[in-house]
Amino acid sequence: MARYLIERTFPDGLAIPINADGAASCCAVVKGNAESDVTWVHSYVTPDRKRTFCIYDAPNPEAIRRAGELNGLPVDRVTEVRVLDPYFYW
Amino acid sequence: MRASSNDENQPDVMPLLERQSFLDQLQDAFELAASGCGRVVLISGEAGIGKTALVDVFTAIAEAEGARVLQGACDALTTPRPHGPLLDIARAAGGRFKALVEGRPERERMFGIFLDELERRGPQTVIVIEDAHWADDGTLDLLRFLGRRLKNTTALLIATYRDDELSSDHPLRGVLADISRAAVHRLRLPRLSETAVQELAGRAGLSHGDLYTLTSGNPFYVTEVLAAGGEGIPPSVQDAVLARAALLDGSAKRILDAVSLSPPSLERWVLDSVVESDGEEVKACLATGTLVSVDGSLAFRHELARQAWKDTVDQSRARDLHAGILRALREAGDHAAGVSRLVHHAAGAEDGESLLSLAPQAGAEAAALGAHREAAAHYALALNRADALEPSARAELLEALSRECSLIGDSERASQLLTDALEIRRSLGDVGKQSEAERGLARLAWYQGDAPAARRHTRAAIEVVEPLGDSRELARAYSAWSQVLMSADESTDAIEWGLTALAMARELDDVETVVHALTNIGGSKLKLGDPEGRDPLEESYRLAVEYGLHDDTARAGLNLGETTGDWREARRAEAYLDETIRFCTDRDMDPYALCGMGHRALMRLWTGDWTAAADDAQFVLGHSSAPPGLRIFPLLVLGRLRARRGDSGVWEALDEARDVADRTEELQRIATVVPARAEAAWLTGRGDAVAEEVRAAHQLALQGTNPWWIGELAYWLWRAGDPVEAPESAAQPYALQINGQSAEAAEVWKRMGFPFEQALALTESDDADAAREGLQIFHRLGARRVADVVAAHLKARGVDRLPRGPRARTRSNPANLTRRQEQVLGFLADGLSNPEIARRLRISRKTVEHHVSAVLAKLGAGSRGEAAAIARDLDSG
Repeated sequence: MARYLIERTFPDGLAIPINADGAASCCAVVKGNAESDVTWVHSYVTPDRKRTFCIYDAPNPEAIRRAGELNGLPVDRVTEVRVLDPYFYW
Repeated sequence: MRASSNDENQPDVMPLLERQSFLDQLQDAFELAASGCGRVVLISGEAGIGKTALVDVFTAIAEAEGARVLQGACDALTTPRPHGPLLDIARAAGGRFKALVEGRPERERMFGIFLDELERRGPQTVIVIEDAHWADDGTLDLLRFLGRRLKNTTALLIATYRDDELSSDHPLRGVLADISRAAVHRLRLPRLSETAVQELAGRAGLSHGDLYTLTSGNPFYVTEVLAAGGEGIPPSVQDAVLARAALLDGSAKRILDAVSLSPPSLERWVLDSVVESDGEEVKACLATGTLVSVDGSLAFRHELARQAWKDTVDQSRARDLHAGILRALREAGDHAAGVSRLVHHAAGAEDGESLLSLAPQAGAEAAALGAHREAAAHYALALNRADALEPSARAELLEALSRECSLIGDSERASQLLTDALEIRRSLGDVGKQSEAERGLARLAWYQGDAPAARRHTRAAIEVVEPLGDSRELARAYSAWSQVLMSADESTDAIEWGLTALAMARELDDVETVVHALTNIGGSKLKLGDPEGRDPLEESYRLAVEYGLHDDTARAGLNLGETTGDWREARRAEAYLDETIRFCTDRDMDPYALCGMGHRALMRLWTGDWTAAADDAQFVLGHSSAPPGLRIFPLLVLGRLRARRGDSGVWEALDEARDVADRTEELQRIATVVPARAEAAWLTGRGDAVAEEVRAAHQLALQGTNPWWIGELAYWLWRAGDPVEAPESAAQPYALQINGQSAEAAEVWKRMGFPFEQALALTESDDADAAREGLQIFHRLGARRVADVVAAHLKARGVDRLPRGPRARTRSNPANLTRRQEQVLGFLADGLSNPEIARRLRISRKTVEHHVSAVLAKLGAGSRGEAAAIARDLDSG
């Protein structure tokens, strides 16, 4: 298991409304991810909603792409990352 | 063996506490299975947690609802009976099933018979296999076999096991992992809560303050304590069991001694011949609930109780009892007991002579049934006492044990044993067996990736029998040599030796060697580029299938796939590999299937099906039984994919691939790994680091005969700026690219169906349109990093209007169709035909057809009508 940063591009802008439909969308994504042993931790979105940076836990990059395909989410790049926090140094 | 629910024998039957949710889950699985989707339920928990009790309650319910229940339990014998549970089940089921299984058919057929039984229409079947942690290899294979195939039956398979007895390398773990996740329910039984323990105590009319603390809520322990009654609480499970039996007198206890040494139960008639007693003592045992009566045999109420009692029987008494039981069983004739059971008692009686004659027999029986761990255990038992054996018998035992060890994956031990056997054969002057042993050592060396040792041993196998003229051993040794030469890419010699072996084998009517030699001849011819090589390989495949030589079928099929792949006929290779993989998966021949999938991953990479390529690669790498050599292809495929896409983990995969490939010394492996590293180095800016490696590999390839390996390595040298010229023998598209004829090269790649290579060639072209087309292909394939690197080069060259990326995919498009596909779907839903759609969108009819199939696939629709209906739903939903 490792942590990965996923970069995604949504040319038309990502739209996940904050209502029941949006919640259902997220739920579907989580379910789809589970099939590949992939866990969505959280995401960062640019103000224009055209790019996202998602933090995921997964066994390998291919599992993430598989889950992306299942869920209809684009995957530009998958990079393994570790956390670096200023507070580690105190 | 189930306890009868006769209250006289079971004074403490009580309804289950805190198990209702598990019963509900069993019921759910049962109903799901009934709807035609077979299910597997795994019930685990510590010893004494009540797995059997739960299963008994459920099966009673199932039977009441009309289901048929088939039960078998795995043995606690020193070495379990091969296929013990399956035999028990067949015997209980009776009729045709029983007759067929008792005919002792070969293992595969036996499993097939069982599956037929389940697929027969009729009442729903519930299969129970208990104590799977003790399962012999044959039963493990049965669990894997059924687990994978129940999906289309109405059967429910329940397996129970003690999870506290499962070390990390326990073979059951592998089986549980192999059974598909989707159709498996896992129930893990917890200990009883304090409330439950108090309730049980209450029912027994006792109140024990410390009962919960001491027993930790283990149901068996609790029941034992409550049954013993009395003051105070026995400090351990063993004491609790002894306490219950404390009420019995000396002669009754002798009965317990005997029964405790014979898992799972002891027949009355055997008991009578080892312990003098009248019926009264037996009645007393049953009355106290210490023993239960099952089908005319006596057994302890629970395995824990049997163990507890067995530990109290002193050594010499145990020896005497074991000897008595053994005598009684033998006198009763051949069918009284299976040979595994006899071995169990012979071992307990420390009867070396009996062991020496029984254990090898048990080993052979187990081996024939595919229970290799058990066979190894039996042979090892015999070997321990083999000092008195004459040398050739001892050598035979060593060879048998070595064979089993290699089958269970302990190749080091297998080599050691075979070396010892070889010594003996040499001293006896038995050259035939010597040759066989050398071949065995060669095979083991090859598995461990030690090519030089494999070569040495094969040479020795020949030298030792050659002086004596033609023989089976010599033919086999020649064929083994041709295989060594084939792996070392000395293909011409490999063919020559293969033909010699073939002629001799045909003369001597040795089909196995004929098949083996044909495979080597065909494979070597294909390696040299002679398409006629396909004929001997296909003949080998056909013969192997006809004679039921499974290993050879797999070998021939894999050879066809691999060598066709070496010549870049990707689609044909993939077809061969598909068929072979299916053949192997059907027979649970996992290592061969994994080997095939590794190569198929590369084929799929080449044809542009990258998702499927990654699937194959990850499957192989995730599988525990893949020896290092099998990891090379999956690793290089993942390395290339990650490099092309810009994902992490590129060098992790490619460094390991190179290390393993180097050790095998096989050109095929080195020549496929190094180009992958060259490409990745180009993409990640590490050109200098691999330059030497690529040059060395290129030199190596030039000594070989495969134009593709020569071509690809020359190409990457050229790309890196080495002043290299296209070698004469380089494959056409690569030679064209090196000579600057990229457009022609791109055409060749396109005809071959290699989109990535086509795109590389296109972007090397001076023609801006061609370059843009190439870039577009990279985008389509998802080769992000390649697209970025190439786009930068193109911009520097002055090419403008570069295509930017794949079409928009937004989450609001639930079926994930591209814009064009949405348009096509729209027209389709309006009832337009393909030509009409083509006219409207001003694209070709072929393109429309392509879009329509993509749309149908994404929607999961079987027809245009279905797709139209789905489109309407999407619109309104």
